[in-house]
Amino acid sequence: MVTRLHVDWTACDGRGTCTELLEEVLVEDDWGFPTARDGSPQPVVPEGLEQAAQHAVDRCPLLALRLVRD
Amino acid sequence: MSRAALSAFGASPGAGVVIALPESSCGLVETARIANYLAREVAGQCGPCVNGLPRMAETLSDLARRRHRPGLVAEVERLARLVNKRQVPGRGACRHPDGTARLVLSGLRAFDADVQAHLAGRCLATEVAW
Repeated sequence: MVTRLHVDWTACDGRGTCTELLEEVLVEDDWGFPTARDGSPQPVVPEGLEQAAQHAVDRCPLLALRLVRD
Repeated sequence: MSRAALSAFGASPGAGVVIALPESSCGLVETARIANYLAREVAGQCGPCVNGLPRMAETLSDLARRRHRPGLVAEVERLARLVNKRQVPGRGACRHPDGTARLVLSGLRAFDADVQAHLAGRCLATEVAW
């Protein structure tokens, strides 16, 4: 089972809280919006970072994140 | 012009608009013109598109205007890949930025001769209104 981070782009405002809390997975683009280091639009959350990813989801001020498991 | 027929060439009909360019025109200039139009047609909902498309179109326009600076082509490609890195849906709620980025990237490849001429300060077209 793989866990991915899904961004609701209509809600995201580029605050950058997630890129601070999940810096192994995300980096800010030129305008502060999260970009996955692996280049995918729904980056895989590596094992061991699930808790940090959930933390980032919980802390997004715009509620723009959720974890998808498949 | 079908999706299936074009996929053999690694291409797709995209939005399904076909523009026949006269021989006198510059493919690079026309691509930049379309990119600027598409950058103005954003829905305004998603940051990567709202910010990325105008910057990408403006950078491509610098190339179209023969305003050379080091790394110009690479910068256009970098900005295009920020919105659509692979042949998969990119960072946005709709596919508008993806289509725009793919148009720009394929335009740089198809009109490579024009790109090289513009980098050297020339244009291969005989009549260009910019």
